[in-house]
Amino acid sequence: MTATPAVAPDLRSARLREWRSFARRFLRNPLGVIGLLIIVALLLCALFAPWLATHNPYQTSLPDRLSAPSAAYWLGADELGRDIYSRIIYGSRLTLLIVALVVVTSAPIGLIVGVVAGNYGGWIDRIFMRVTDVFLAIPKLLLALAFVAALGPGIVNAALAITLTAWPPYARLARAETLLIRNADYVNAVRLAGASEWRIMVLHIVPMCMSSVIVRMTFDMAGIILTAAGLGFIGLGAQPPLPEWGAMISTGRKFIFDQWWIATAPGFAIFIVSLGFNLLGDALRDLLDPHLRQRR
Amino acid sequence: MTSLRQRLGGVATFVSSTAVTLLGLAMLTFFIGRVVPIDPVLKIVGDKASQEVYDRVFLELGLDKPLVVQFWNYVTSLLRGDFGISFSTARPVWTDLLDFFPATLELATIGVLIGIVLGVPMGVAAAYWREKWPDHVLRVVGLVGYSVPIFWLGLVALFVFYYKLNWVSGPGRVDVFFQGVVPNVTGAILIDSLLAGDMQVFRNAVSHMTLPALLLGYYSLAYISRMTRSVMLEQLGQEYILTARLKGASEFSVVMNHALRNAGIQLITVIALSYGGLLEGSVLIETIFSWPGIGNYIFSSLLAGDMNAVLGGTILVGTVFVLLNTFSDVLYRVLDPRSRGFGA
Amino acid sequence: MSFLKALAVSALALTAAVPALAETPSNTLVIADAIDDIITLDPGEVGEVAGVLVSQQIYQPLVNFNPEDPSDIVGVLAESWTVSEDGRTLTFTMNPNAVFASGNPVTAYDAEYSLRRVVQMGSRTAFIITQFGIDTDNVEEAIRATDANTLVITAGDTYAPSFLLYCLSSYAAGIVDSKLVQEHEVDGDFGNAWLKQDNSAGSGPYVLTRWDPKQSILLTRNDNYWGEAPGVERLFIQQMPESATQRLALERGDIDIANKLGPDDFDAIENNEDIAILEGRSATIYYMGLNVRNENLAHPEVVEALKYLVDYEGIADNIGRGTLAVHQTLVPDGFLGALDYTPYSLDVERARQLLDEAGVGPFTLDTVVWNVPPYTDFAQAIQATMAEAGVTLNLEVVDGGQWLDRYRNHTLDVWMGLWGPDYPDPHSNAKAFSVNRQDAPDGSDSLADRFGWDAGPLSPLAMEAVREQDTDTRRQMYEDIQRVHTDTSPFLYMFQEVRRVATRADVQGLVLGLTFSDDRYGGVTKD
Repeated sequence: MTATPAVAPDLRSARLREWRSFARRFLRNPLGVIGLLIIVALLLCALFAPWLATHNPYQTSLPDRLSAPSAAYWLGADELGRDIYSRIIYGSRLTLLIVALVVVTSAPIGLIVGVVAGNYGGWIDRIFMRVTDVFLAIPKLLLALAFVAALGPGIVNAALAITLTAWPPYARLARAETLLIRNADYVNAVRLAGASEWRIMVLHIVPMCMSSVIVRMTFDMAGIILTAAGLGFIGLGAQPPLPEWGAMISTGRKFIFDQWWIATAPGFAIFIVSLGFNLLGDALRDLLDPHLRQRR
Repeated sequence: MTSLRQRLGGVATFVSSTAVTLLGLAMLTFFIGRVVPIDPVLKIVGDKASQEVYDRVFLELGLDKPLVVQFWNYVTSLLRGDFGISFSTARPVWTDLLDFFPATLELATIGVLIGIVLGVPMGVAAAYWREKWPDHVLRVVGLVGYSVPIFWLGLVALFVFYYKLNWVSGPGRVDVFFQGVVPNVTGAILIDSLLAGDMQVFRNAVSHMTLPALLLGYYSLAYISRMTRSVMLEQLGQEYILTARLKGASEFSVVMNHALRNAGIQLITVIALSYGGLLEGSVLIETIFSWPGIGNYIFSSLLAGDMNAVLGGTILVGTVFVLLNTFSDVLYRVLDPRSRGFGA
Repeated sequence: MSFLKALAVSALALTAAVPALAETPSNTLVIADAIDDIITLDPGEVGEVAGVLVSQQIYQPLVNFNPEDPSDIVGVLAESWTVSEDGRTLTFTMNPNAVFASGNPVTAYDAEYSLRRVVQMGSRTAFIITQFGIDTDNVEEAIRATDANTLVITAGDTYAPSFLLYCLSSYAAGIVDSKLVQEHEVDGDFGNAWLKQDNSAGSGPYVLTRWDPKQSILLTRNDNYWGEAPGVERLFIQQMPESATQRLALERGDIDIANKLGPDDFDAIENNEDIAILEGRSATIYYMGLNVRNENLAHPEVVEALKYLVDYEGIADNIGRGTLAVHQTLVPDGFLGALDYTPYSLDVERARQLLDEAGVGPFTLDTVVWNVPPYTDFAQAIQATMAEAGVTLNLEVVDGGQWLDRYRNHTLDVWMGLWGPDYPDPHSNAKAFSVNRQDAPDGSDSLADRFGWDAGPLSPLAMEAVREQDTDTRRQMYEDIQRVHTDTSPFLYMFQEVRRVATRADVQGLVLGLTFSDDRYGGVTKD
């Protein structure tokens, strides 16, 4: 990249420069790039599933039940003769769906709780943080398990259950950031100009919390995927005939000794995707976390 | 330095905050138990019972009372150790939990021991040779540990080491015909078989435990080694290390006697957290390995729609988890000379 | 990967520790089964499949039937019986040789106590006795020991005598040692607390030694057994729900009998000389109930169309693999009146035509599926074939508790269920599937009522059949009922289960039962 010619030092070009330098530093981290590539591949899979798949993922073919991998079935066929490769490709959509559902619910909940607690302080802060601590102190998987057992199985309920265990770290994070910002000069200036507290929180504090929340989120995605797969494995996640990866492993478990390929392929898919998010999260944290940046 | 009195006062604060957390846990499980769509009465009386029997049980369970009263009754009975009756074993849940918990404790303990024995040295090495190959190995181990679904790894391990290679025994705690051979004293089969002097049972139990314990150990290792690394890095950067080096202490002594000793307090909290994590992580592993522990109990109760048992198990594991957290926190604050009391 | 290396090293170190594969001890029969649903072993209330299996080894009924030929009813604790002219009263003469494990002789007073007990406890299995018009008010009249050798049972109405006898052969009618049980009564619980879990008081070949819920059950030979002494000293029933695990354990000789093998695992052991495969009759029927309260299912054409949207043969061949037989009538094969009538097969064209005639567009139906095989498998296969005709079947896979709960609530569109008769008489099924509540003697809801179906003339006809004294006429009546029922009812019968049980080859003398799980282990020997 060549240096940008010095134009008017307006905000936009400053942002652009920052982005470019960020991208350059990111590209120097090969593991992070691999992680990014994995996630891009996942997105492409989900987007172009109909073109990438060789079969209809729901089409059963009973005579081909439990077929070994072959030219017709690249990764074999499952207990109803459905093509495992095509199911894994379509399954990427479900994985993304769960991750997206959890993220769009847990991050806002955490943000609201954290920002409100941090901004108002006092007893609101104490109550909110006490609730957050209670949720943090309880084992996550068990809580999700009990919740989804109560709500009934299904992909949306599984995502909801994970959300209930996933929001507290965001609340903590947002509260810490809010405490730093709430009395900053520019915030006080807006306050003096007569803006309401809600307006201040929504327009001025929340945006400042976003970057650290996003880093944290990338990091959490692997955990979300693993928990969702675990719920699917137990049978509390996506319901048939949906090709959810955890549920596919659960089916394959019955055949693990004789038809090992049924459980193997979806397991690899989960592994690769969560590895991708972990690698990306690691790299982003190294780049953005000021504490770590100093050290390196 | 804070005075002893202040510290004790701090401990009291901790006890009360732990109590609030536990109350929150009870509230959550109560809430879950109330919204669950399974009719608890139906589970007891069966599908073909008459309406009178149904109504009688409904009243016996106190389901007609207001929610607040029900919650109060719930908490007081929890405190008495009354977790209700399990629908699927027809026994008090507490009795069941006492039966199943030792197996989980044994597995998790061995898992965390593996994690400590392998994880701490790996973490120390990775910190000492930062950005060299030990550090990279640790990074890969950690990444894989955080990315692979544990239940899948368990299945693959069973397929390879039990089915294909036949190196270890399969699911279960001992072979079927070794069951009930040694008297149940501690509930931990390894200890019980040693107490009874039955080496055959002991060897069999070891061979059954190998895979699940190694898998749990691996997860504990991934966490402990990562944390050891960062704690050690912090210590190695301190001035006293430089002083020690200048005084001519050997490198080994610098790392082991100075840095690791000072890191020790923090490592205890790391290990306690990891232990709590394993208790929870055992749910999926126990399912795969038919291990007769709490995890398996929760899982099979879940399949049977036995919410009393599920919630009882959740409360037990949750309580141990919370207590471990508190314990490590207290220990940290009491032992660490730099920490300044407990304040909010 | 240092982890794998570490794993390999420790595993290698342990190979020395793995004991040589041993056989199960010759005096113990180790049975693998799913026993985690058992909540009681009291014969007055036991109901779960594995619980019945256990209690059948401990308790004996007055009469029993030959599983090879259910019409052959033989005395067990009763030596003989007579039926009164009007068919309402049965008089049993007790077997003088029979003794309980405690050494007490089995008398008519024990039988009286045990049968009254079931009614008085009002447990979930009490209906097996109360359906004869016997209730807590008249039980002292209806079930009466006139002396130590004679028991008189009087039904509230006339029923086919074989029907009453079948019910008395059921697991609910196991006879307990009344002296022993009465000693342990607490607060009028009929000894239930004592019998439930830790103790037994029967006359069968085995006694209960120890039950660890969800783990194992140990039965020991009854040394006072009055019949031929059992061939093995102990029955050890081990919780092992996974089919693949059972198969490996069987192959390795860790267990003697695998009760829960799936179809695919049978393929793998078919040619193993150390393993024998037994086939038994099972009266369990798999069916779909269609709730005609649903606006689409209210059209008879739609109901008929759905009957053409199941790949019966394909599922039986590929998923059942010898454990499912296509069966499309309400009385199971092997029972009085059973009929070979299979008018339906997969025909998407015909189904589309019928749907067009009904004038309904593509629609969606909700169903719940029990999370155990083979349900999950065939439910998905059905889901796929129905989709071809534009019928979307929403599957929700749930545990057994919720599965029952949802069907009791009458809110489901489609129920994928199984029906195991409680006694080997066609009435068990005819009552359930075709008698509406206004015709039932006790006014209870049947499956027909649950699915909102008015069985019309079939309902009184079925009640007439159970009162018919002549067996041939009775058979003819059931055959007529079935044809109409299969053609017009909203019940979609699909399969009858074929029981397959794998044992080690040295296990001899196992008799597979017929209803639920009355396999008989008393005569089993091991070489």
